[in-house]
Amino acid sequence: MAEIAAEAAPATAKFGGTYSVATIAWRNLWRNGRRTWLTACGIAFAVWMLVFGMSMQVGTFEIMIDNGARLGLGHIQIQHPEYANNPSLEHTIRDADRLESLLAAIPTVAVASPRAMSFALASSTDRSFGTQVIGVDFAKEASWSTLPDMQRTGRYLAGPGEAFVGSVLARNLGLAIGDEMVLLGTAKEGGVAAAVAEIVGTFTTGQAALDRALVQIPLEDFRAGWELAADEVHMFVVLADSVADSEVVARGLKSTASVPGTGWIAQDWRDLMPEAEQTIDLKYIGMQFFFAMLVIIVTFSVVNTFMMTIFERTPEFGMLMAIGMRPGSIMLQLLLEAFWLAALGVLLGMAISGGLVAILASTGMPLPADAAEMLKQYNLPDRIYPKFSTDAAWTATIVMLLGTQIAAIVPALRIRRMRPIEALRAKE
Amino acid sequence: MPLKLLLQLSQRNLFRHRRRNIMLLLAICVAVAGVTVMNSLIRGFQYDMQEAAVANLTGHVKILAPGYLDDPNIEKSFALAHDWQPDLPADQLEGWAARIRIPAVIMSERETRGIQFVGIDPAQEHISFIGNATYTGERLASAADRRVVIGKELARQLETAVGRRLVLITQGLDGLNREAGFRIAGTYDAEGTGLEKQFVFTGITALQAMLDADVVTEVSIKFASHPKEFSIKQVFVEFFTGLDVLDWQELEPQAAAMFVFADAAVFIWFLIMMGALIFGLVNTLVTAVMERVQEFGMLRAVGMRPGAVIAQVVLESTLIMAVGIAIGLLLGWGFYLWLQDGIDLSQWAEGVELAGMRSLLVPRLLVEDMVLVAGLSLVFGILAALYPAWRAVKIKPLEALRR
Repeated sequence: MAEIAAEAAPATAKFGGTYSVATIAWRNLWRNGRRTWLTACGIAFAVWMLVFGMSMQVGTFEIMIDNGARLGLGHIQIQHPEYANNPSLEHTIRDADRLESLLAAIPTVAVASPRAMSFALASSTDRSFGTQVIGVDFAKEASWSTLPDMQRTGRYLAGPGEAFVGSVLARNLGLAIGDEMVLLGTAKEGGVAAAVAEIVGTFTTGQAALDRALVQIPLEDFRAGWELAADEVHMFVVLADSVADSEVVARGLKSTASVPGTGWIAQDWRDLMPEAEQTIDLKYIGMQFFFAMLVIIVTFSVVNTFMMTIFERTPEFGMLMAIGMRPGSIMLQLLLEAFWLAALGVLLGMAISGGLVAILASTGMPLPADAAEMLKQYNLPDRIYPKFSTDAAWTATIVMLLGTQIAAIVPALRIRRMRPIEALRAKE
Repeated sequence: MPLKLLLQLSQRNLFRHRRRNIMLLLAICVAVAGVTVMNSLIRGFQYDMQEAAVANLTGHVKILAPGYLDDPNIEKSFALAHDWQPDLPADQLEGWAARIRIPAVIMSERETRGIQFVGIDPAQEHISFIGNATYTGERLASAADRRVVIGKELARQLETAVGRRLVLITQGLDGLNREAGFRIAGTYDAEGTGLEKQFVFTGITALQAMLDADVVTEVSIKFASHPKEFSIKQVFVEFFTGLDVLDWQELEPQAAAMFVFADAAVFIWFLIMMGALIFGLVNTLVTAVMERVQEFGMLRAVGMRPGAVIAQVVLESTLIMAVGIAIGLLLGWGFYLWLQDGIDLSQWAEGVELAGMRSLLVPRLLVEDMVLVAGLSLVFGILAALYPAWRAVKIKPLEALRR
């Protein structure tokens, strides 16, 4: 009875079940350890390039978004629905205090800063320039914005009648700290908006548009000069605890704002910095092309490894077939070998990337001295702090596992055409 | 051992395992073709960015009054003889343009903006973006044209249109504000909103009349193709004594830094691709050596020198590399031809503009890059052969023969 049962059982059972096949596959890898290591290192290299490369990129993306946000745009802006398309003075949000307390109640929101803004002509005694005037809640603004500290001379706003201006604008106007500046524009009701402000400080961001044309004054002064009501603002600039948090908050706010009659909409960093989003998209496309090339090259080398393996082990396969193992089972075993090989390579690549990212995430990746110097000048971090990209890790794992399977199947198909006797006789 | 014999041996060895070596060849081809295509895209980006920087009213060399860059206003200007011509042979000069460029406030019936007001002679502006932009309405007709052209985006923001009037306020030489009305001749499309928001153009003599000043604030000069910029710049330094003569690297430092970075990127790409390739290459070469242990033992026994053994393995590697490089370069060139109409990036126009490029990325294949890739790949092929060759030399003739 036992003999009949053994004969009826599938070939794999004779090897003691699939567990054993997996073990044999693992052992087979080490019959040529050098080859296995070389192939696994190739896979690990590609995984490392992708995971570490992406992690560095994600790190720079976060810096890019956060810098844009802290320079004044915020992670999220709450605006009148028309304001983004047509930033004119009459598109204000009413009932600002209630909205502010609503925003402040969201746990991951660090600060919501009210602003009112318009274009105006800034004049000294003998010169005039077109500027953008922003009325700010200076106490709040100082808590999140990097602008007040950007190579500042003098000090930031502290009370009514003061102005904080771009350094190039101040120079162009021929004004220094302590001098008075006249702002002239059109008020909300159509009259002339005028304000006189004392320059208390200047900033240099390196961005011509800001340094040449930005003026900050206290929000109350702006409301008085431009005839806005006490509960009227043009926007709330919202800073969340992190860029990722801001995306969650923005989604929530966007669905709330879609309720008609709220009188405001939310814009997330993608709306506020389309150029940053597009730069990131473009870089992702570049990375995809780059990774595809790496995968193709590595896959070819895995195909090669398996072709060599199969060629060398033809007599062994003949023997296995002669004692009753089916070609399918042998192929399964080769696929398992490919799986182990990929697993080894991926683990190795992940370990290297993970280790490097973990170290650099706390110490930061130093940049070349001249680049770092330039960044420091503008109050930007002079190091890149990579952020482990789980997306890239998953993609690398899946692509590498699939790639090696395909690479193993192509040469393994030859086994189906092998005849046991000829295979046994094949010269090693 | 004569080289011819070694070559013959290598070549036959390669044909012994056709399938395997074809796989290796394919990997090399993909790597070389990939690097070539990527290089052509990087170079395309690099030159495009440089051209955009030069076309951004910069030119290869620009002459400015001292202090203009810090404080651009009409006081920082200079007089230019009406019959002035650059003292350069015609084949070195693509063109030049004299301009007045000063900050101004522009007002429509509804909105006010701060802009750069630029007086130009339209006939000279084929060297800058404004001469090649697409227009709605009309271009400026001459240096005396008293109308303005503004950017499409600025027109949208000012809620105005072709044919309507705008008021511009700027400062005259006497320090007093001048205010004048201008009719919009046309709007220009600069493939991105940055320039469109910044520049408003009118005829230069019209602007001189408005300012009561027969001066210019800048002269831009663009050279034909690859100039020996330094020596040419010197010509202007000597002519315009007392003025600043700056080249585009000084005027657009960010673009110049990116230009240098792109040179480095070409190398980084190559190293990464070769890094991925080299594992497979070493693998195949080592196997090829280990399969022939007996053969090498026999050859050594009959008197082949260790040097010849090394030469043999290195030759095999170099041969397959050479074939791979040739096919890879051809493939890369094919892709380049296929992409030659350019890749449309207008979907990401603002991101592209941030990088200082234009929306159509036209690849550029440089012969020097192809030579560089070919040469370095061969070096890599030789490096990859070192370990397998060392294994081959280590084979002891007697032991190998007894196996």
